[in-house]
Amino acid sequence: MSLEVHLLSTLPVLAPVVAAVLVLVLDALVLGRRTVHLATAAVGLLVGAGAALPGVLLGAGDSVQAFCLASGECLYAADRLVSALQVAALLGALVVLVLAWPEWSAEGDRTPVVVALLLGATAGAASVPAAGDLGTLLVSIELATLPTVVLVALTDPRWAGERRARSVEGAVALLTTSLVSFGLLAMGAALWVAATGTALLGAPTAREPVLLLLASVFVLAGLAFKVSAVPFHAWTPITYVTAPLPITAYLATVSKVAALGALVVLVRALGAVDDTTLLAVALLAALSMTVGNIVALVQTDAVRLLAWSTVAQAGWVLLPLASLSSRAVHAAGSYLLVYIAGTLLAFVVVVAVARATRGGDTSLEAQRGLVRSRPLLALPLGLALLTLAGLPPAVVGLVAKVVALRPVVGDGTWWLAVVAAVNVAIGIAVYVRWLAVLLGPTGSGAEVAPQRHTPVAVWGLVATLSALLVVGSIVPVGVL
Amino acid sequence: MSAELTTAPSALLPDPDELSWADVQLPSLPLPTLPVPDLWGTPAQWAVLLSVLAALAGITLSGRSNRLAAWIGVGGALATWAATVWQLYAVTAAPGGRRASGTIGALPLGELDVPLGLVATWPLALIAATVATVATVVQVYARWYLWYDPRYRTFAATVSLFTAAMLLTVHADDVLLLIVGWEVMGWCSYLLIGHHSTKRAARRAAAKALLVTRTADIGFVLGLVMLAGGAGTTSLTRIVEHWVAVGQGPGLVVAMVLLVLGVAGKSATFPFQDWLPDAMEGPTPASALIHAATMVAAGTVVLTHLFPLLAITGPARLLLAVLASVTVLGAALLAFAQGDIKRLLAWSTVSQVALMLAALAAATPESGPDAAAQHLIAHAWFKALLFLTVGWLGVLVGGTAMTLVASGARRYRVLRRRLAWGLLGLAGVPPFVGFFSKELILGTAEAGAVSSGGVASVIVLSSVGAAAPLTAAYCMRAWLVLDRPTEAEVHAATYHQGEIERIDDFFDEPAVLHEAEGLERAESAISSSARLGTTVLTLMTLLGSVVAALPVWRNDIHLNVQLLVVTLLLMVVAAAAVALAARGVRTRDAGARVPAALSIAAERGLGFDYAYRLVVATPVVALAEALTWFDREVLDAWVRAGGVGTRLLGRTAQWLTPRRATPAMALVLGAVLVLAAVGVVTR
Repeated sequence: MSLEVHLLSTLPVLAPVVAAVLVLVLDALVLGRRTVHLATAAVGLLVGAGAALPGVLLGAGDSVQAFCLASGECLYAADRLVSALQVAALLGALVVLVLAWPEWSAEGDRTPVVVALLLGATAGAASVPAAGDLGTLLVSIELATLPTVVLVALTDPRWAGERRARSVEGAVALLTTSLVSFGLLAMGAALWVAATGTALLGAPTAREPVLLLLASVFVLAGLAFKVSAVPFHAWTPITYVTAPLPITAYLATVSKVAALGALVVLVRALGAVDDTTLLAVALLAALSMTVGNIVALVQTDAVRLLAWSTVAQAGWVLLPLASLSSRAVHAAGSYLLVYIAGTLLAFVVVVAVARATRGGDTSLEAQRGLVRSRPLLALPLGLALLTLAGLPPAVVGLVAKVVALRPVVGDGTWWLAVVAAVNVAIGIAVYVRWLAVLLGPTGSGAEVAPQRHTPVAVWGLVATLSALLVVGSIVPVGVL
Repeated sequence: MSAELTTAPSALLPDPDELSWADVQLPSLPLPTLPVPDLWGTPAQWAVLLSVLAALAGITLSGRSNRLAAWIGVGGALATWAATVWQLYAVTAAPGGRRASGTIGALPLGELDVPLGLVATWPLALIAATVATVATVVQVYARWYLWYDPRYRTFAATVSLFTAAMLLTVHADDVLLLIVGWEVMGWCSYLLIGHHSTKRAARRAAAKALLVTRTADIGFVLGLVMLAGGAGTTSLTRIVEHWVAVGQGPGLVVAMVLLVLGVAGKSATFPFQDWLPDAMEGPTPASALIHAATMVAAGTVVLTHLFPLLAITGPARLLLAVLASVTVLGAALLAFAQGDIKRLLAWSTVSQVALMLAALAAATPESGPDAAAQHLIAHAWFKALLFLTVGWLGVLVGGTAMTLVASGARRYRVLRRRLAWGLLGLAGVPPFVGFFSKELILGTAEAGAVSSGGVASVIVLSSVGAAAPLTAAYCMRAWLVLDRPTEAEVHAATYHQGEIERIDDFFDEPAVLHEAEGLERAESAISSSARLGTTVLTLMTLLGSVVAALPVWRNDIHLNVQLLVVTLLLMVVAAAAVALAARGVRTRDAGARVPAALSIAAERGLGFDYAYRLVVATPVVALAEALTWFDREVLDAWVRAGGVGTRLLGRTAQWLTPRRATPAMALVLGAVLVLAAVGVVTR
C-alpha cells in the first residue's frame, strides 16, 4: 500500500500546527516575551490562510489533494468550498487572536500554552472539512474541540474566584457534551464501517441501508453538538457566558467552521451513497431556529443573546443541508461565511464596549444610546445585527438567507420553508430589539462610562469586518 | 324653432344650402416649400423640456430672490413660447401635417408596447402655442400681481411645471405620458389653488379640487388602462387603430364611458362641476391659467386624441352629450345669479368648457373634432383676458363683488376696452373670436343631427342653441354693472342739465372730480409688461378669428345661415331683456332681480358641496375608519398576541433549558434516541 503524500498541499492545516510547535519552542528559548509568541501565532495563521487562498479560486470539481491511496482516493481533499471554509477558520482565529492580544500579552506565563491551544484547535477546524475518511474526521474533530475546553477553563488569573469557578463549570459542560458527542460519533463511525465496509468517505457502496441510516444519524448527532443545534445546544449558553469573551467569539465562529465542515463531508458522502433526504437534519434545523430565536428574544445580556442567536443561526446553516440538491452544501457554506463575518463584528464591538465599562458589563442596558455616545462602534454593530437579521441595508444577510432557503424551496419541503419564514420574522424582532437599544436615548447617565482607550487593532478589526459586510452588500458575488 | 323667424334674412343671403365653412375660410395659399432646418430634437420635446427645466431652476436656483425667480419663470415661458411658435412653422413642412417624436425611448414592459412618443399636428400645435402664450402672459402678470407675496418663487415654478404638464398632455401620443401630464396638472392645480395656504377657504378649495378631480380620475385611468391593455400598446395612435378595427363592443363602451367620466371630472362637467367656482380662492393668475388654457381644457385635448373611438361608441357619446348639455345650460344660469364677478366668470368657464365637450359629443367622423379645438383656443384668449382684467380691477377697487366692481370700466378707462372685448368674445358676438368657434360648434351639431349623429347631436344642438342667449344674458349683465356711469358722472350730467348752478358750500366740485380722476389713474398703474400681456390677449380676442379661418382646419362643415341668424337674434333679445331688467337697480345689476333665495342657492352651487360630502366623502371616511378599527382592534390584536405569545414561549423555553452539564447530557442522549427512531420509522 503506497501513499502519495503532498505535504505542501496540507499547508493550511500544517502552518498553525508548526506555529504552535514554534511557540512552545520559543517559550523554552526566550523567556517573558509574550509579543513574540503572539506574532508567531499570527504569522502561522496568515501563512495558513494564504496557502488556502488559491484553493478558493479552483474550478468546480477540482481539488487540492494529499495522502492519496493507490486506489485514487485521498484522505485530504480541499475543493473550492473547503478552501473557503479553511480561509474563514484561519482568519477568524486571527481576529480572535487580535482581540485577545491585550489580555494575553499582559498575562502571566500561560500565554504560550493558550496560544498553542488556539493554534491547535484552529488546525483541527481547518482539517475537518478536508477529511476524506472517518479516521481523519474523528481526529480532526477532537483536535478542534478539546483545546477549546481548556481555553474556556484557563481564564484570567486576576478574575474573582467565583467568576473563575463558573468558567470551569462552563468548561465542564462543554467537555461532557463533547465527550458524549464523541462517543456517538465513534459509534456512528463504527456503524458506518459496518454498513459500507470501508472507512473511506469517497465512494462507498451501501450494503445495509438501515444500518447506514443509523450510522448517519449517530454521526449527525455527534456533530450537531458542535454546531449548537437544538437539542444538542444545552452547553452553548452555559459556556458562552462563562468563557472569556474572545474565546466565546472563537467558539461562535471558528468552531462552527469545523462543525459545518464535518457536516458537509457527511452530506457529500451520503449523497454519493443514497439520495434519501435526511429528515433528521430538517428537524434539527427547524428546532434550532425556533428555540434559538424565541429564547434570544427575551435575553437581556448581549453575550447571552449572541449565544442563543448562534443556536438560531445554526438552524439556518443546517437548513439547506436538509435537501440533497447539489447547491445545498454551497448554500450552507455561503451562509456560514456571512454568519461568521457578522458574528465576529458583533463580538468585536461587544468586547470593545465591555472593556470600556467598569467590570466588563455586557448587558444590553450598558449599550443604551451607543449610537450617540460611540457612533463609530455602534454603527458597525448595527450593520452586523442587520446582517444577522437579514435586513437591508445589510443586503448580504438577506442574500444569504435567500440562498439558504433556495434548495429547500426547490426541493418542495414546504413545512420547513414555512418554519424558516416564521423564523425570519422572529429573528428580525430579536436583532431589531438590540438595535432599538443602540438607537434609544442614552441611559440615565448615573454611571458615565470611562472612555477607556480602544486599541488601534480593534478599530482595524471593526473597519475590516464592516468593509467586508458593506462590500458584500454591494456586490454579493461570493455568496450567490 | 327656426322656421317662422328666418324668412326675412334668408331672402337677402345666398342659398344657405350652398354655403359651407370652406367659403368663409381663407384660401389655402400655395406656400413655397420653406426649408425647415433640422434642429436637435423636435419643438414638442423642447416645449415640454424647457418648461420642466424652468420649474426646476425656479425652485432650486432662485434662492431668496423674487427677481431671479421672475426672470427664470418668464424666461422659461418665453423660451417655451418660442418653441411652440417654431413648431407652428415646422408643422407646415411636416409630411401630412403630423410630426411624431420620441421622449426617453420605449420602456421594456414585456408584452405591452410602450413607445412613449410625442406627436404634433396642426390643431395640437395651435393649442400648444395658445397654452404657451397664455402661460407667458400669466407669468408676466403674476410678477406684478404677487409682487409682495412671500411665496411668489414657488408660485412661478409651479406655473412653469403646470405649463409643462399641459404641454405634455397636448403632445402625448402615449397613454403613460398622458396620465403623467394629467396627474401632474392635478397636483399643480392643488398647489396653485391653495397658494394662500394660510387661508382656510383656500386650503379647502385646493383639497376639494384635488379630491373631486382625483375621484373622477379613477375612471380616466381605468378607461385608458382598458384601452391600452386591449390594444397591447400604449401608443394612442395604435390604440385608435386597433379599436377602430375591432369596432364597437362592450369593452370599448365600458372603457370610453369610464374615460368620459374622468374627463368630466377634470373639465368640471356635471356632476363634478362644483370644484371649479371654489377654485377662485387661488390668486388671479392661477385662476386665469387653470380656466383659460390648461387644466379644464385638458379633457377636450384627450378626447380629441381619441375622437375616432368616441365617434363610434354610441353610449359614451350620449353620456357625454347629456352631461355636457346639462352643464352648458345649468352653469350659464348659475353664472347669471352670482354676486361676484369672478364667480360669474368661473361658472361661465364651466359652461364654455362643457360646450367644447358637447361639440365632441355631437361631432361625427365626417365633421371631425376640430370645432372643439377651435373653441378651446378661442376660449383661452377671452377667458384669460377677462380673468386678468377682472383681477386687475379687483386690486384697484379692493374686491370682485358686483357692488364693488360697479362702474369699474368707467372709473378706470384703461380697463374699458379689455373688459368690453373680452365679454363680447365670451358672448360670441361677431367678429370676435367666440362667434366663429360657437358657430362652428352649432354647425357641427347641426351636421351631426341631420346626418349620422343621432340623438347625441340633437341634444347638443338644442342645448348649444339655448346656451347662446343665456351666455349673452350674463355677459350683458356683467357689462351693465361694469359700465354703470360713476356717481361723479351722474352728478356732472345733472349739473349741466339745469340752468341753476348748485353751489357747494365746502369745495369746488370740478376740482375734486379732476383730482379724483388723477388719483384713479395713478392707482390703476400696473407693470408695463403685465399691461402689454393683457393688450396681447385683447388683440387676440379679435385676431383669433383669423386663426379660426385658417385653412388648416377641416372645412367640410355645413354652415347654416338661418340657424346663425336666429342665434344672433336670440342673443340680442336676451341682452335687451337683461338691460330692461337692470333698469332701476342702483348698481345696474340685472342679477338683483333674481329672488334672494335662488341667488343664495346659486352662489352656493346648488348644494353640490353638501352632496359630495354626503355621497362620497362621508361614506369613504366612515369606511376608512371602520377599516382602521378592524385593522387596529382585530388584525393587530393577533399580531400583538403573537408578540406576547412568543415572548412567553421564550421565557418558558429559557426556564426549561438545562443550566448544568448533567441534564444537558441527558438531553443529548434522549435526542439521539428520538432521531434514530424518526430515521428508522420514516425509512
